[in-house]
Amino acid sequence: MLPRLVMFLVLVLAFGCGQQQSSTLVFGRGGDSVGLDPALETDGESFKVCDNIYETLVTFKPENTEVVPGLAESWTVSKDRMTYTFQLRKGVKFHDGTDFEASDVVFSLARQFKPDHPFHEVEGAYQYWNSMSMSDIVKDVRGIDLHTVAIDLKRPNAPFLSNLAMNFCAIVSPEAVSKYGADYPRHPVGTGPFRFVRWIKDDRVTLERNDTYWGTGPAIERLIFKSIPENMARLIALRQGEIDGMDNLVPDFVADIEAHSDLKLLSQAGMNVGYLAMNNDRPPFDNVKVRRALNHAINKKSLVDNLYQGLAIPAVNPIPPTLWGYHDGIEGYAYEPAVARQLLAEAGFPNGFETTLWAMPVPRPYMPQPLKIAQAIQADLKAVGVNAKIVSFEWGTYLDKVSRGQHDMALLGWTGDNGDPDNFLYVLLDKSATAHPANNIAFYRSDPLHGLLLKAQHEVDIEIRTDLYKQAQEIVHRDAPWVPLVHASQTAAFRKHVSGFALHPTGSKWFHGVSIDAR
Amino acid sequence: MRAFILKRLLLLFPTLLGIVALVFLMIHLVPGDPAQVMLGERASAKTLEALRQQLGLDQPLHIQFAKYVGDLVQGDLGRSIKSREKISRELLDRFPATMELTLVAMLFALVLGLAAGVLSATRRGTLLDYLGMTASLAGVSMPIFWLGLMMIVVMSMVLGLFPVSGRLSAHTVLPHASGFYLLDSLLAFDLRAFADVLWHLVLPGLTLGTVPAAVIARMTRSSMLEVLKEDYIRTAWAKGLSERAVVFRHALKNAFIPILTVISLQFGYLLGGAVITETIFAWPGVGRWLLLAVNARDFRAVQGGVLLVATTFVLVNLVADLLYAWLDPRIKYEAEEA
Repeated sequence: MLPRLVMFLVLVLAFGCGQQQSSTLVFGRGGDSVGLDPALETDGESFKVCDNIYETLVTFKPENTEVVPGLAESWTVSKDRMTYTFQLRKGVKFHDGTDFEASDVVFSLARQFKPDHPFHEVEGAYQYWNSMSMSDIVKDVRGIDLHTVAIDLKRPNAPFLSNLAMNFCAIVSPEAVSKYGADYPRHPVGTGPFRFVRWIKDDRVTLERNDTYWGTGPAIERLIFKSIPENMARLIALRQGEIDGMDNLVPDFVADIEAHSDLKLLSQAGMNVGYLAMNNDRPPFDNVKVRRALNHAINKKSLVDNLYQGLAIPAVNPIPPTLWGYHDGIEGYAYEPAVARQLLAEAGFPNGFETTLWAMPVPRPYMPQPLKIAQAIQADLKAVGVNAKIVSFEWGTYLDKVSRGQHDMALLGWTGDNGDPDNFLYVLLDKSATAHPANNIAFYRSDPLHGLLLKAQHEVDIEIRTDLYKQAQEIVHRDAPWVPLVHASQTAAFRKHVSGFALHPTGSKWFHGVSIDAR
Repeated sequence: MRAFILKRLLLLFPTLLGIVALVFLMIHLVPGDPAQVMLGERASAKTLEALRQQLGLDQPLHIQFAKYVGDLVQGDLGRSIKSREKISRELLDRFPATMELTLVAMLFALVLGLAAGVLSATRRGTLLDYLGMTASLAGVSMPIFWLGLMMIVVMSMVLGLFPVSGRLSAHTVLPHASGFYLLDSLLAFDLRAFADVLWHLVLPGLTLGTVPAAVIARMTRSSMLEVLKEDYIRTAWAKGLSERAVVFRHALKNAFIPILTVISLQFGYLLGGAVITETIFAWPGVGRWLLLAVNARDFRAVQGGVLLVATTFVLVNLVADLLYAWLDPRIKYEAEEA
């Protein structure tokens, strides 16, 4: 018995060691995925995994949010800009062995908006399709032949192409969706560089290299997403080598990571904006001089240094600089309390005024400490004579009240979806977004801006669109409906032996090009 | 006996109904619209309305409640709002993790608590007694989250002895069987994995088991002290029995009934404490899942989770009641029936 046990032990150990040598990358993150059907999910932790299992017709350039070919090799736009025709890549296979064809594209999109589609009725809802108003844009999706798909629009809409690069438009295997039904989010099948192996809830999702991938296959064999919710625990796991990388670092960790010779820190302005909206419907914020005064009164650099520990950049425009179309020629309102006081005096408030400043009760990705931000702003405003009382409500109530315009000034922010400037400017500042529940909580209504934004939606040429959005940013800067505060950085840290990972402005986490150097 | 068990099982239903009603009310009386919280910045009038309708929030409260209880009676806990998954499935996925942790913590609490209690009682007034009782006082008063964090800081960060979180190293692969990893790794004859599982259990097990260990120690000591004064103990000593026989066979067995009550109550405490311990140690169990459900306003999941914990608690108490009769044959449940 004993010799047999010893032999067994040796075998077990040998087997165990063999496993360790394989190139497995473990990525630590703050939470588990909700599900892995890209059309049904709405949370970043789900998309992080979907990014590696699925692919979209078009995708983003690695360095910015410009759209480039994905599963579609090329596309053409009809003269009336109402029909997009995509030439699909040939020889692509799903992880379940079925061929990728036009009917799969039709299935993946049509299920989200055609009421008579057999997979339209699902547990939950196709929330992203709805929240991107896709049903107001897309009329039909048709297979022309085995490798050609046409999408007809209801009205010309350029940002639509960026939407197609988002997770919710990823192409799923119709066979697998039919086979698993409501269980499909646990058995995802796509065409991406990694295929799904196993999911232990709240613990890990394991993916494996897709050996039949059409492009250059990944260098690593296995990719594990491990949930370690406690920030400190995640950092310790990284330091000890239990995980190879992690995201969502808290600012306090920066020094620690930089001091550790085995680790490296990545950071980039995130696709978000945290802002102070001044309610243009309420005096004195109907006066542009008052709004500009407040822009001069707030010290954004101090906010970034003290409340973001440097993991943010002061905002000048509503859109972050990682988006195409960003206007880098605009100079932000400088922090000059004297100018602020003078502007207030010109506006008829030499002694300032009393007002309220609303702050979110919960940390948000673009503003991890909203109450402290509010206090800092309160102090800045007091220095120019404006007495702001801080007001806060439970989160749901807060959103409801600000979307009805019950505030004087309110803090809020936005995380972009598709990397198109339209997704910030039109959603947050167009006059059409002031209807209840308003996303434009400054209740800023500018006809010139509205005209520009509609024109940009209809135009497909990216050069022309860039120019239109630059004009739009100039108008917003001039009218100053907000104090744009910050763009919070997105961060990740890796052990030094991991190479080839790059942050993407959309927050997508692609592990396709990542490799682990031999230790 | 059978009648007693049946009666107790039937009593389970009104108890659970009460719990369901309480949880339901608590969740629905919390201010704020769950639909608004779930949709966050992206809420539009259309999506808000659709979500409220889908969640049944547009119905009056009593209708929502009646519908929930109706489904419950048919064994349907509903689906989680957040994950869209059957709640029974979600719970099944995570219950083994919680159970394994709870059992290990309880084992630790029993061994340490009983040993400390018996030693303190038999060595009353000695340094050992004072030390034991001071330690147990500290244990009883220990905030569990603080203890957990200290364990991580000292044992993992400074000494590097134990893993910080989770049930399994990222590189360990286990076959999917019962979900009880100790058992699964043994069944797979994977001793390395077994060691890995055990390694991960140490810190959360100690964290979760400390308070019950202290409570059991104190109860054991006081109960033993009482019993040790009894005449039959003096008789046992007089008969010339060994200390072991006197203390364990005669004293401890008779002192055990109040201890058993404490143990079964502590079991409930463990299930509650698991929420905190699991969160600190990223333990993929029911407790952490419940906390996430609360944060996400996933009220159906919260109801299902609380129901499971409550049912487990009631069942453990039932088992404890049955054990009384085994420990003390004078306790007859049939007599209660009459």
